[in-house]
Amino acid sequence: MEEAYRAALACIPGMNILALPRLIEMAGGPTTLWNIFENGGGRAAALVGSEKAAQFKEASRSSHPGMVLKELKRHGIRVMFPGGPDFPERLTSIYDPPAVLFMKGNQLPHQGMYVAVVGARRASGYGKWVAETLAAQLAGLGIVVVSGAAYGVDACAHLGCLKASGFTAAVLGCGIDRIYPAEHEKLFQNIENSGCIVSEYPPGAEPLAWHFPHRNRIIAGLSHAVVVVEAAEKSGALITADMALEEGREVLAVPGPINSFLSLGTNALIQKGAKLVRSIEDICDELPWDFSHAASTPPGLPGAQLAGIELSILDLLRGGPRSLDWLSARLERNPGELLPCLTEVSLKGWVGEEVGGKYRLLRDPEMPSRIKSNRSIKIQQ
Amino acid sequence: MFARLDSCSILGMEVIKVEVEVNTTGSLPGIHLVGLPDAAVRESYRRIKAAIGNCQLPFARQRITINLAPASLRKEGSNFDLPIALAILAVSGCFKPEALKKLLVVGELALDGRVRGVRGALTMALWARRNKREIVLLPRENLGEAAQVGGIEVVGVGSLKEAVDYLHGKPIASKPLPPILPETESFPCLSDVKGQLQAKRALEIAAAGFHNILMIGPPGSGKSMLAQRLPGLLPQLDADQVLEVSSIKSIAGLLEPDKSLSKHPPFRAPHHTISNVGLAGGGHPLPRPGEISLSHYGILFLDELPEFRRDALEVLRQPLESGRVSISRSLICASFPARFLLVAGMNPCPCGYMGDPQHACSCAQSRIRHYYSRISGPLLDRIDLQVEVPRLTPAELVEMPAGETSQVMARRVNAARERQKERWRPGRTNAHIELVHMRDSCRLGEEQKRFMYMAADRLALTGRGFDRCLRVARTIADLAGREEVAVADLAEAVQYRSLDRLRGSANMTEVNYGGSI
Repeated sequence: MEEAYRAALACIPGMNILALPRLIEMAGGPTTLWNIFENGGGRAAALVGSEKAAQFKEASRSSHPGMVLKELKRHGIRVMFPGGPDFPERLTSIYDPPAVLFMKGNQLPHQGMYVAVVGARRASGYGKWVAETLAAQLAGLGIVVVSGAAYGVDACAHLGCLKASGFTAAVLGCGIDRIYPAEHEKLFQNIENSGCIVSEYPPGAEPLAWHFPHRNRIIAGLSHAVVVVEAAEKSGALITADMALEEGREVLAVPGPINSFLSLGTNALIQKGAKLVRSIEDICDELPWDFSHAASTPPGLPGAQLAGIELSILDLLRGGPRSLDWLSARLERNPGELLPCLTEVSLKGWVGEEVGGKYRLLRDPEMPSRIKSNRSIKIQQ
Repeated sequence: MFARLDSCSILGMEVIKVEVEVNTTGSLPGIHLVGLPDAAVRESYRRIKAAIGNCQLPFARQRITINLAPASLRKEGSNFDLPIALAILAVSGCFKPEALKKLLVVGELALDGRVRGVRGALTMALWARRNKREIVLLPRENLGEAAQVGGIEVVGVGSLKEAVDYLHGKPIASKPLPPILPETESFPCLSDVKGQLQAKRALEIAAAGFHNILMIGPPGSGKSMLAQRLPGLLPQLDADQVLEVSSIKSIAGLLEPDKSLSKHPPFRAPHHTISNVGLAGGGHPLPRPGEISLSHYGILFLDELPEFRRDALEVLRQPLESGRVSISRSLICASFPARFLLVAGMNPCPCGYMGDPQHACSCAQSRIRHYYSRISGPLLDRIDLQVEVPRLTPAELVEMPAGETSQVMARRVNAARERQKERWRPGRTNAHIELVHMRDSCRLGEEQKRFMYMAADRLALTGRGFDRCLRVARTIADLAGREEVAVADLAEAVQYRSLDRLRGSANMTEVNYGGSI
């Protein structure tokens, strides 16, 4: 019954979710706390002040924990709490674990690694590609990808994981029944179907600005490592990184070009000592898990031969995204010849198409298919 | 006394014969007009009376009954002024009623007896020729267009007096016809547009296979310029097509009186505030052809596609499929041909700057999604080519080569059309051939199939998208002069699906690498 009382307490209108764990502790358990609120009087007033005590008294008398739980179940929402059977162990050990977690979708895997991929909402094409690719490769290794379902990097991380049929967890800063941002309705549905959505806020809670920094502590707490993909100087992703550091999680950052404001945060993190991510191997190195069995099947694209003109296209694209006109002028080929080649290289995963009719280099043919991981270097020594 | 003669009315593209009968009885003077006339027709006897009076012609001082047959059809417009007037003159003894035989008469009268022009004279003359009429008597204003139908005598009269003179057998003392000007119209050349090679290539494919095309680009990137140059790539119309297209123009009253019929495919670019009736046709009293019919065999350019009213866009669906538009109202049912090439333009987002390296896009994701959702899937399914038209920087504008001229491209287009003519029935193009025949003719080999499966998988092609690619690839092969559809043709065809990608990213089913959206 503990989950019912915790859920009911969280659902009381006006309840401070962040203070709830402390209140439960002071009262000596959720059931006692509920009874205190129900009876009202001095003890309740001592805990939350007389005004709120009166309010809570009324609210707790008009509802019943069992009913609350039943109602939640009717909407497909499950309830987890620290000490409960499904509650992720790592999350109990953070500084201020949530009193209760609402959740939709599949059960979080007990075993296995969790990696958070977070970053800017206004991500660049590069950032989006990095998020999608890393998430897909992590998913390919059976790693759970955690993120915040926001625009930009978050969405691409979820999407990349889903595309690789991985398990992805979205941690929200609002009630679990709300879709925020609303445009991600379809994404939410897909996450719910093949992953899960988690929130500490009761159903119906608004996506208030101050929820999100607190939400970030759950993202960090759930994960073994946090990868920051693109972040401006002041970014929510940096808060997640800070919290991850405080909780002793690994923090990694993907470097970006120095002339982009979206690299300021990530490059600064690297300067301060966050691990620089060159490829998926750099992330795996930081995880307390043996990937040697996975390493034999490198994730990514099938090895493909490149024809002469395709190589010249990739060569020209190394300087940044280019339009067909530009390529056509440089290679002195007409579009009828170039377009089939561009399709070939984009199907093979070397090139991506951008808004504005430009083509971007995604993989460099000169790049080795696997970057030597630091760990294996250490072993060799 | 009794007199009768033939006139006609136009419903949709059809000419309907209307017999005008006039009878006099010897009672008190008066006029009765029967046979389901509408307001404009009922008013006609006042014009007729004034015109006859002003021309000093006789008007029977008897009870006159005018009947317009068939009685069941609603008669509308002012076409019947002249025939009714002539019939009244016949019963008034001005000339023998027999003189009116063999004539087909239309025209509106002014109070002073002048004859005003009518709409659809070309269509009527064509009908008269088909139905073995010998003489068409019509307003001089319409003589130019009607005279271009050979094999029939066309008489243009400037006034009621002239019409009477003609019936008396006197030659009409009319000004000579203005000389018919040879067509001088020429289209601007595609080499005026710098760069934009992919868009130009897409236009060439569109012209070759009559594929509908959507151009997506920020403001000022040259979408309209490109669209205006597409007619220059299309082959000229053949004789039948010229008459059909001009006929529609004539019904709409858009034919210029002193010009020969244009051999060029029409180009229409209605503004996005157009109503669905303006686009599809309709209206009162007689349905007029809409913009889609006026662009029959030619180009309908809809710039700012998402700004068009949604119901107006939805009426495009049936004509895009069948090449005709049917207008059904409570009393009438008309049908116009509408086999047009749709060229649509739109911005990549409401503010227009998504993906632009120089401007930041200021649109919320929800607005972008809303913007795309304004174009329905079924409409989009009928647009085979989607291409982005990026804005060039000033430096690129200087640097980029002008590219091929329209003339060179038109030659390839013509050759591709010839190939299609051999394969399908004449007049059919790759865009409008039934899917079964299309799949039949493409006969993909093992290698091609493997490529398409890979593309379908990687690019999340839908069934419809797959078929669209096939059609476009067929045209690309025709342009290259290949009977077999090669892998390269298919590979090029899958490039023309820009909007699918943009929509995919707006709906969060695909990552768009184009920076912040």
